[in-house]
Amino acid sequence: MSLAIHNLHKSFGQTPVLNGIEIEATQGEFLVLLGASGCGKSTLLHCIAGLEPITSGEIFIKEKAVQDFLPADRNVAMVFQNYALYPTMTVARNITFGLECSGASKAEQHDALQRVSSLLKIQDLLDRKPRQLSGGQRQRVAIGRSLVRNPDLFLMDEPMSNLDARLRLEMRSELRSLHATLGATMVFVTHDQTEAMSLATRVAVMDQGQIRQIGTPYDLYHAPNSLFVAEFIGTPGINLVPGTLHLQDDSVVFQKNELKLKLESYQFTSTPEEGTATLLGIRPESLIPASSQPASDSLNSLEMKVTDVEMTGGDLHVRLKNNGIDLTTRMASSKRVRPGDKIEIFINLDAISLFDPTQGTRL
Amino acid sequence: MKGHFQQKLLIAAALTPTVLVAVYFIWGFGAATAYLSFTDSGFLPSKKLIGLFHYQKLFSSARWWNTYGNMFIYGGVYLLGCLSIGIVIAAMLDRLPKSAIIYRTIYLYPLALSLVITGLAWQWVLSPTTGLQHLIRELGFESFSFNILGSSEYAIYALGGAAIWHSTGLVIVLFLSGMKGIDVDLWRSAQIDRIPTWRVYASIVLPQLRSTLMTAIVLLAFNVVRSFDIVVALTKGGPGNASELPALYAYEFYFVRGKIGQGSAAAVVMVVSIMAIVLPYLIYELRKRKQ
Amino acid sequence: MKSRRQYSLRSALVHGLLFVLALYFLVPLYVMVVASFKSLDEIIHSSIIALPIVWTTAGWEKAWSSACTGLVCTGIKPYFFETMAILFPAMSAAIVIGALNGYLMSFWRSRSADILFGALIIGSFIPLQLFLIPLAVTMQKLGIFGSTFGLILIHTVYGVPLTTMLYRNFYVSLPSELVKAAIVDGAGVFKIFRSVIVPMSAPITIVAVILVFGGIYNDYIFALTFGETGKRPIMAAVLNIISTQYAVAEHNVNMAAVMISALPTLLIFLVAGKFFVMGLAQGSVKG
Repeated sequence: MSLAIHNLHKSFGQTPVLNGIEIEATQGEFLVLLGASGCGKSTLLHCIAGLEPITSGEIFIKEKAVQDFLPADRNVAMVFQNYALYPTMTVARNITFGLECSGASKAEQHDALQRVSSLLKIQDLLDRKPRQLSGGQRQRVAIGRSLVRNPDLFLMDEPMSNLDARLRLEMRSELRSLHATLGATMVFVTHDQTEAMSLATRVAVMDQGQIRQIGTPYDLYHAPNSLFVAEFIGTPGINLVPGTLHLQDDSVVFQKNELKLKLESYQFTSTPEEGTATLLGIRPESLIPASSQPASDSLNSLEMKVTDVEMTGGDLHVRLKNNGIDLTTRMASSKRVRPGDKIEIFINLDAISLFDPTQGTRL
Repeated sequence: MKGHFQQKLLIAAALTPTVLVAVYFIWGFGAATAYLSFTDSGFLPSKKLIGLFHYQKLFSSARWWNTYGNMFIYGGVYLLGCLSIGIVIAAMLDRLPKSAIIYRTIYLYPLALSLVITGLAWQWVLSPTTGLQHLIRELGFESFSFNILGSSEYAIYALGGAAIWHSTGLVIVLFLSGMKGIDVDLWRSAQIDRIPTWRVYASIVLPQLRSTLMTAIVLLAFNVVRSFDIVVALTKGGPGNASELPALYAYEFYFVRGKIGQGSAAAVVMVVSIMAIVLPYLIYELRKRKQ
Repeated sequence: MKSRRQYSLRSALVHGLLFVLALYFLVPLYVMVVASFKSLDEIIHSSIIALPIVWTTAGWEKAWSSACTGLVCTGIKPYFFETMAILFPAMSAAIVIGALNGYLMSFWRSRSADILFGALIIGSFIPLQLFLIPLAVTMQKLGIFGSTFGLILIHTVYGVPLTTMLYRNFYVSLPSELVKAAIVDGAGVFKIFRSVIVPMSAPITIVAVILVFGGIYNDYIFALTFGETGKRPIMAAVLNIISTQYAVAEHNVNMAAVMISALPTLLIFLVAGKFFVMGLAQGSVKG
């Protein structure tokens, strides 16, 4: 176990910010802490690093209890949002500073510097000062600084937020290949769920100091355990249809106005009662227009009217309406769709989620 | 958790010497002087308490009342002069970015000079034998008379004038930087609404600079209480004791008259008076800010 | 719309006012400079505004090396050097201690830290008259009353609150991620100070030097109270020189003496004006 956190609580004075955090990450995992501003993800990262003391709980890095240790003794490295490169030092010294602090010899520092700078392709930048570097270069240097010490854990606090969209995509793929090459354990904080999904082996979705769900990107996308997670992940957002569950013969039926769905394959946590109010969640790409699917079981389809079409390059985001039911679906932009058109939509019953409207829990 | 606590301890320990020294040399000494004001100290400090004797003596002394009153006259002139001239100059310089540098140098340089130099310079200019009176007479106006330093009534204003000369630059710096912080869009919309420039300053800019005003007033007020050098250099408190200020009074009683107890009482009254004005003002302003 | 004429009229008024005020500020300096370069003869016979017919440095030379304070006629030279002998150690000490303090205080952000900070600031504004007697007693007991070391000590002690405040405000404004990165890199508190913080401290150090230099150099009350005859710091010395009576007042020498005393801080202002202004603004940002 590379990282294990048990029952971690943290308060600033009287205000609790982290409540009962439990995490276990194996060697080589890329764990992403995902959440909106203020959910506590940065604070959690600071606690793992040792920059913030915790109020109670335990933190284990490589099986060693470190919650009483200062960062210097935890063998972790961290990349900050604004990179925090030392402005008065050259890139070379920026990178080797950590080794300098731990008393490595000049030779050791030199070797480590060569190794890291060639890996990140920054050999030409070694004599420059941080202010002479571009955003992407600075990020590489910051990563280099953390690589050079062979830490047990790599921590990253929203390092991509200051890059423009194109650079961000570039750095994402570089980071993925770096992770694959090194096999290091990384804990990455972000508020951007696309970034989280593209980088992570597992994602921890956080809200108000708690972890709502930890799982692989696939699990989080297709089987969210709560309304919060379902709504947080996915662009465009998940469709939510309020309705009721009825027991008919041996199966459960979801009903809203004209929409009646027989839920045969859905795994309920417990058998629902007749008349339970519920929210049906379905992702836009799980709504299939009839034109691309031969008409079959009419029980799964609904005729809807197009209200709005948004072009996003490769996709069309199409908004549909049918008597109180609003849905958004995705289509290839080569399709000709206009507001006012009538389309028959098929609902993929293997891809739905049901939620309790008040609690937000998955049914 | 333990490591963090140890680190906090280390930092607190490293700061302790300074805290101790500050407490001893500032708060400790202040308290000691306050204590002395209640003792019968003469040339040397004594520990024997005699209650409010010195304060009674102080407030039944015509000389002290004159001196104490001078502090408020001088303070009033000083504050009014520095603020009004300083704010007007700052507003004008705000509109002229290019020539500002030359003017700024001219208005600011007196701040670099000590108050002794300030006093000596103005003594030269105001003295009847060397200064203005001499000059005007030389020009032919034989009967021109201007001996403010010899006037019991007006010498204190000479002090104010010299002090304004010294400190206006501070007000200019504070308000200029405050004015530069005003949103450019405010100016643009005022222009569209056809509001005259002076009106913009009076009704829009200045109200936003309340905190700058507060800072300026507090700094100037403390300068008033500390005014010792300039009095010694310009008037020596004269003629007689007409332009004396409490700082000078205290000093004289400490070291010339050998009445430490009395001097301490004067010092205490001096500091308490200013605190009594500044602190409530600060609290009022800070509370307003919180709203 | 305002006409061009109205704009120029207003502009003329503004410049006019600024010019008149500039005269108020410049005249004393002009008059002193001019007087210092005249011969004694010219001083007596010409108007104070007139430029010297013959520019001479006689006044300056006498002021520097042979003007008299009381019975001693050494000019201002020894007092100048004595002032420097006090100033450089005290200034260095106050700055180093203040920088360290400011750095340590920047770690500690809480109500109690703010209260301590506020108390420190208020303490630095209180008139020195309130401390004079206990200070004198303490110096006497330590046997340093009147000594150069005594003056160095008290200037350091009363300079530290100012420097602490300057440095603390500056360090608090630095990005906190820098220190965090250094902590994660394994640097200890003092290593961070040495390797990361100090190299970044140039701007505030210049400001601190300017303010502390001015504070010590321009001081009068400590010079008067705790200086020894023959070794008084410069502001007390120049006052003595001016007050020393002659049969005929040697105004040119007096003015030269005043000019010599004024030059160091004036030069610093002219050279580093930008930092001077920064220092004023900083010095007024309180808790």
